[in-house]
Amino acid sequence: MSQAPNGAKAAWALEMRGVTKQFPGTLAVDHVDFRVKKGEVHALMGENGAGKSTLMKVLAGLFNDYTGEIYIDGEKKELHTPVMAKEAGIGMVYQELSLARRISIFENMLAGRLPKKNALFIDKKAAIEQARKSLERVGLGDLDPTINVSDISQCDAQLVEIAKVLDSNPKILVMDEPTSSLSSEEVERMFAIIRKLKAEGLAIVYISHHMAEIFEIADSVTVMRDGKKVGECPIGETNEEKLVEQMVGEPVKDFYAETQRHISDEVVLKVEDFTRWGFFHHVNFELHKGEVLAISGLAGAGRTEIAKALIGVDEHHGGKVYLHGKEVNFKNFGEAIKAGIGYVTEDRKVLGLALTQSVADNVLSCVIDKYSHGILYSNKWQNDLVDEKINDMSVYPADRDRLVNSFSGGNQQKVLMAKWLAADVDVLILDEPTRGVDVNAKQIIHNVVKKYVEEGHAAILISSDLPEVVGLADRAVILREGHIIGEIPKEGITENSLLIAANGKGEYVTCQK
Amino acid sequence: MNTKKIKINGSFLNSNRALLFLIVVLIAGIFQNNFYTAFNINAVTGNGSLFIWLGLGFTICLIAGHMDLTVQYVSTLAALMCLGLHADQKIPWVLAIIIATLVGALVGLINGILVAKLKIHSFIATLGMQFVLRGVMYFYSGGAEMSIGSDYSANEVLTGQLIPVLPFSTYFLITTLVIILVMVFMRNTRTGRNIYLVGGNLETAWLAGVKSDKVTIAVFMLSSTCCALGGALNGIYSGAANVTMGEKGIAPLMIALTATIIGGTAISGGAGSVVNTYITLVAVAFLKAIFVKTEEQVLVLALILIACIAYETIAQYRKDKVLGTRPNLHLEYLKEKGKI
Amino acid sequence: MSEVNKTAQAKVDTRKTEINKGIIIFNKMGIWVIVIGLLVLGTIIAAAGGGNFFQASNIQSILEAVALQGMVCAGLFYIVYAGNMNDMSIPLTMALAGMLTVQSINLGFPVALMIGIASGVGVGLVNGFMIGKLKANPIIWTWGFNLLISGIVRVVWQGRQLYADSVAADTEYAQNAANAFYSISRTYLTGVFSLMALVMIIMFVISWFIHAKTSFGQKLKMVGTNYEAAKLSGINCSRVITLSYVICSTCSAIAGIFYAAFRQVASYENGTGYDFSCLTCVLLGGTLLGGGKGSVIRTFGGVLAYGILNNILSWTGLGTYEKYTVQGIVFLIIVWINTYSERKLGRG
Repeated sequence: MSQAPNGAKAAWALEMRGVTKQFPGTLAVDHVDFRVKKGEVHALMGENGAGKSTLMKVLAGLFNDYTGEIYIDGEKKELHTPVMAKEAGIGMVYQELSLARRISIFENMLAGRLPKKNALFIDKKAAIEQARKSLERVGLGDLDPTINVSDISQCDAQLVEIAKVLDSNPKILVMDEPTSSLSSEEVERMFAIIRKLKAEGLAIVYISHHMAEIFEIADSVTVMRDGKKVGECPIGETNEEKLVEQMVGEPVKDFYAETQRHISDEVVLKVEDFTRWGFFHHVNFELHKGEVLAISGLAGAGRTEIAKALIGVDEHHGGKVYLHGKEVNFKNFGEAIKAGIGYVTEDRKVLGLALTQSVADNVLSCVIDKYSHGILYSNKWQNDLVDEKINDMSVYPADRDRLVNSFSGGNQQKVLMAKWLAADVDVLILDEPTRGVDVNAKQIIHNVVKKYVEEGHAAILISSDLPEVVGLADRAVILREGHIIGEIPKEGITENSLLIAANGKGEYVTCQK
Repeated sequence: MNTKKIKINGSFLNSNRALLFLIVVLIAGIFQNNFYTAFNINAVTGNGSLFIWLGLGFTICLIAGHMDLTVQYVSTLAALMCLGLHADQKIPWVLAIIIATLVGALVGLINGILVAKLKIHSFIATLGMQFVLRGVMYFYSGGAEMSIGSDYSANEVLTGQLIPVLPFSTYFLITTLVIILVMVFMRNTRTGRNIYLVGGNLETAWLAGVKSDKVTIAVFMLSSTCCALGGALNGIYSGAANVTMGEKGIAPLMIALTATIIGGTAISGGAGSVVNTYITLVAVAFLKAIFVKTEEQVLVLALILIACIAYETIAQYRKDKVLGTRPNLHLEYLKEKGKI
Repeated sequence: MSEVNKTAQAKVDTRKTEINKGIIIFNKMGIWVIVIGLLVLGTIIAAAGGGNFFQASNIQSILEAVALQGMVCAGLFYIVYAGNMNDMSIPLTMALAGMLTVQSINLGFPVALMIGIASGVGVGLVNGFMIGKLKANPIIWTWGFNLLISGIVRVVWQGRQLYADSVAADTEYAQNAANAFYSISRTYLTGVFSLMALVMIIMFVISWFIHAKTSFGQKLKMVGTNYEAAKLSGINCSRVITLSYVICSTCSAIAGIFYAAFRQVASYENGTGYDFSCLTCVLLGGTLLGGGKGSVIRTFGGVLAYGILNNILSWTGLGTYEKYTVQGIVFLIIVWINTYSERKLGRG
């Protein structure tokens, strides 16, 4: 059992067989076979929620309850803790930097295993030397390893993170969206390093949404969809269209019943030259009554930042916002809600809901001022409103006094939606409104959104779930690296066109930055 | 170009503010009568040593991301025990000091378990332990002052000048030596570096396989051991100890906290140096010789402390505002504004 | 659509996380059980010593002991509830209010009182700005600020203690004001029930009203539970936090004025130890350290329990320092239960 079947032994640096990982309620990775050759860059692709990151987390030893077999260089390994994975030769470069910012570079790189001079003391010189060697491998030979991580640029920090992983001499290097916070020159630098590492014989797993990057750097590609592997081939045998098709799968037409909505010419929200330096520049768009406008783009393009600046949570440095033709400038979110803009946050657990409070507390949390009489306020006055909204959202169990953390994820998300329905705003910004919820909750939320806009409101949709954008949006503006680069009309919105446009290509891109 | 230079100077001064503080105090001392006399320096540093031990304990804990409010009481308890064991049980000095220190280590162990295993916030856990220790102190001493008795041998050793040319008491030299030892420990051992790691980023520590619970317990034990040793020595040095030791003027705990913050230890952990705390506390000791009145000491110290906290808070506030800026777009911003 | 909903419900609801009923009950009722238990214990211990726990003088001493603490707790509750742990500037807020009131006694008692209370509001505004707006570390900042006020108070009054009757000018008006100042802590309404106790109860009622019946209370609940979510629900978190500090400091200032009157002296040492003992009361009352859970009424229960516990300890003849040990252990147990239940409620 400790050996892989014959023939496979030396060929694959990594072989995962039938790996399955279950989360409460969802099967995140479903019997996936994944293999990588020595000395190749293997791209792992898939839409958000396809299970790529979970599969790689299994590999990094973050879960101790996966099932399936993992072979490294033909040897079967159990990977139940990060340390076990590291010892087995897995090097994971995390998407969020896992560096301690106030600590020097070399210590971050050698955390927990600083070389020792004798029984007592660490050998600082040797540590710095060792760190420098690893830094040289990523082209940072002239970086002083003794300065703190907080004093270097984000790109360098990303490279330090890679150097840190390389230092433990991994056989397999996993990179999860390593370029998402880098500029284009920095990406080139990163690629040069990846090619070098490949030449050194490392097996590299590369996760990215950027098609161009994949075709530039990868040797072969595996595509996942809904927790399953749907394809594997050398990069030369595929092209962008094929990959997109595999990632997207069969179009689920009947899931989103086609309804022709009436979109009036009335402009509800108009954004002109809207700028927050360093996050998004000169953004223009209009939102019509009865319309769902998608702001589409890759993660990190600045979608959430636009939303947060629009509602006054973050500052903005330039541009004008007109709501119903009147110029508005919100100093805080409270003013925005009063004027009629709401924002359904992403990440319901951290940003959206007060989990240890009741449904009623949460649903009414953005209308406290609206329903208070002078300074007086009580949740009980609005019981009818809460009941109505949680019924609209089919929250189950429909108990307004129940604590939110005792609900399932889908129902929590419905509570979050109910909260914004209760706010009775004209424009609702939906940021990942159905991430991590089951299919039925998703449908309920979509139906509610449709009903909401049909009642004469308007919505802005920010979603990485492409079928959702296709199903809901009446129009999509494409955001790339902080700029609006094009617009797709209703007829043109398909998963393929969205993906291609988000990568800065295709017919709908009108201004290239 | 000009502004950039000032900026570098500002951050340079900030990162060396402990030293700056000491230099300013020492310069101010020139204008004082009888400041730079051997006797004064000897007395000032000797009397200030207790606070150095407390500051040492507090700093170690804060580096690991915790607060240890028991430092003051551990040292008082150790002082009482050390004097008491020698006077009542006729235990030799060295053994008495060791026993008192071990009791301190035990308190540290309890603190550590409360924080690491029972997951009580360190501020709250050590706050509770404060009360417990004050009670234990009373049980032990009966509230009466403990005196060194007639055996002044150990006292003479500590108050004497070990190195004749240096105007420092042996007690202060021991204190300095321990600071250097702890510094070496914090800088040059794996456990020491792990303390920084745990305080800096728990996730990094976890991914690196560092057992943060063990480190936390070790930190509290180290802190309490140091404070107990310092307290025991201080009891012998000053010849007496009572339950309200050091409570005249500013509370010793407050001085420890103040010096730790002024010394540049990060409030949220992960950065700092015991040496900076040491320098700050030496400066505080001399400050007391300049401002004889307690009132003025309090005000001056408080102003420096508040300035340091406010500076760090505002710096962080500004940093948070631009957190997550994209490099490409920042470049574009600079171009548009004509800055490059 | 409803068909779909039904199946969805059947599928997803199998994995709801049950919260231990015992913990909820402990959170809701625990403190009153403790109060009654302590009363019974006190009766037994007092009887064993040949005394009567419920005699007027004992009840009076309990009420007097808890009155000042209660006033502070009525405000400190908001700090803990907002998730900011403790206000370390309570001692000097109390001292400052006492000093200012006594110092300005010549302006007449009502004006002096106003000045004292205003000082509390001022301290609260500064704390609130630094912590609510600039997000300073609440413990470190309030602790540092406490030291700063201490320094200012000590320098301004040169470390002296102030006595109202000697500060007051030699006019009848001023002397009357001084007497009025002293009398506020010595007025008894009916037998054992003092004005101080009444003020405390009034403050608790107001505090309860603010917490349970106003929009500010509701907002504070959301801020205390999840700051980010509250911010993204349009709640002005900075303002809410600032207001919570203003309330706390104002309550502390009122307590400080009574303290000065009660001890007949205003000094920078007034209020020492109140930061810690009052936190004990608030936590004893079941307010969660992480914020967002707790009630003013149970905080009042916590104050009572703390007062009765201290009273029982004095019946047993323990000295001040021995009491500390018991208090410390009680505190640690309470905090441990508090932390434990917080984790069970899905946080921590």
